Amino acid sequence: MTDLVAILVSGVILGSVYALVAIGMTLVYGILRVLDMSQGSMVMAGGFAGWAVLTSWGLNPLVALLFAFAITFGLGVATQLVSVQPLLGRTGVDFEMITFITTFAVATVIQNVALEVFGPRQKDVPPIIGGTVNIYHGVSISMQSILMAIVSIAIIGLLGAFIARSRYGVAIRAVAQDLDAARLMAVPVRGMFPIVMGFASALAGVAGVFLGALYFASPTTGELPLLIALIVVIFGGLGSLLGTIYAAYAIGLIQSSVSVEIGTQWAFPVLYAVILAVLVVRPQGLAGRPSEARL
Amino acid sequence: MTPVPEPILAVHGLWAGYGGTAVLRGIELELGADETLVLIGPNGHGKTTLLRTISGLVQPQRGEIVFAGEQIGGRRAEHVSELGLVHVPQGDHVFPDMSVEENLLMGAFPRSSWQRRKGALARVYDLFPTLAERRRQRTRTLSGGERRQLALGRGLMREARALLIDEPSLGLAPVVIETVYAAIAEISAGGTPILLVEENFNFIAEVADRVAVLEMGGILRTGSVAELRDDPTLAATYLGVL
Repeated sequence: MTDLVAILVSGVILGSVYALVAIGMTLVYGILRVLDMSQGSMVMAGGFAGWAVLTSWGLNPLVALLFAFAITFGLGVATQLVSVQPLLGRTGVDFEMITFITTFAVATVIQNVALEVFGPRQKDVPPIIGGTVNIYHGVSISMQSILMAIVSIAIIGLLGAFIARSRYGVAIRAVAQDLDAARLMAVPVRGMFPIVMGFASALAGVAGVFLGALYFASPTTGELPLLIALIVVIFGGLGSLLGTIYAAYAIGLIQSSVSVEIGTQWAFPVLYAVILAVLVVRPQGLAGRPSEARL
Repeated sequence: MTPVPEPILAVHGLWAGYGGTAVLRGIELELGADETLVLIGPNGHGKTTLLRTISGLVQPQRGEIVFAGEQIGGRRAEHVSELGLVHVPQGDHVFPDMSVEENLLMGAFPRSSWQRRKGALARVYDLFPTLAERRRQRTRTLSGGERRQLALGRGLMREARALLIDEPSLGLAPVVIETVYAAIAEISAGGTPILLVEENFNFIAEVADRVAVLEMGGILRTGSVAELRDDPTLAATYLGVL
């Protein structure tokens, strides 16, 4: 019973933050058909932004989150304008493949700028909120983790409501489902692309503040989140928002159950074996549909 | 070319196509402020390309397009649509993973139309009762006829200053065609200018103020239905009457 509680709690926490990082990639892929490889560097940038606010400037945690959001939003918009927007509408290029590389190139530049500015040493990001709670016999959990899960779930919930109900939310789905038809409806697609990518990056930035406090901030801290987010979006079905959420929690729960029952060192090997098995049977991912139909 | 007093839409010397090749080779066409102009001509000669170029989905290579006094040639589709020129494309292009109602709401995306979306929905549901019955249904699951009605209904969610409608009856069962024709006839009678691609002679005779014949990427002739019927070669080739 203790094991089960531990597995569920840590699985849900992991799943929530994975979902927060991955959902931005799904959104960008859904409307732009770009697999945004800069998403990991946004986690890293968010971590440094949080570190700067919390340690150097000594401001309060809410400011840290807002600052990380703003910085990574700007970085995301800039990344889109530099590495994706110029390639729109070019004929005779494999847009998905080229932008996979161009966004990766931007990510590498951002990472090296961070290395130049902050140095290679790890920075300890203070937790946004201190303390631990004992939730069940022997299962205790940091307030930081609880807050991370709550913020992630809240952001994803708000995003879901926005996409489902608002005028621009429906327009985002329209762009994802039929670009030409969306343009005929007067949806300003070219202006929408950088904003959506900025927003996606900002979600990763917010996650970065929390992850920075759980681990630390360094120029390479975005690498593992990027890899996990990639796996989540492909496992869930490229472009499917619901699939991304399922996949994030499935992966979080697999990882936590293997860690608790077998050992932490087995978490990733078992996880990848499961993903391999699922994708071989269902290459479109959990909720993906072959070819068309996204979001 | 018949002169049109104060056209809402005027196309002069328009060249356009895909890649390096030109499908349209010097199109001259004017649409009057309250007329229904039907575009006929053999398949593959540029009717759909002309509509797509006017609405901005295809960029012109040469020539000009003037809509409501503004040069729109070379503008992107989203900007042209914003001006009130509504294109109901061939092949429907409905949003497959939205509900019927969400599809219709997208037709009212520009802010001013969005504020009046409730009334517009009621009007469209009135025109197409099938859509009202299926308002919550996922669009992917509709029949071809229902999708066509949805595409047309979506185009009617705004007070369009002009409509471009591409082969609304293509591939539909006769019962559905009647519904679609009735709707177009109603819009036409309401005074909205329409540039319509259509083949059915009886319907053309009912709805068209003028007919334009597009062949080999150029406008071969324009005139009233009666005038074209009097031209023996045209009548035999395009109007299906001898």
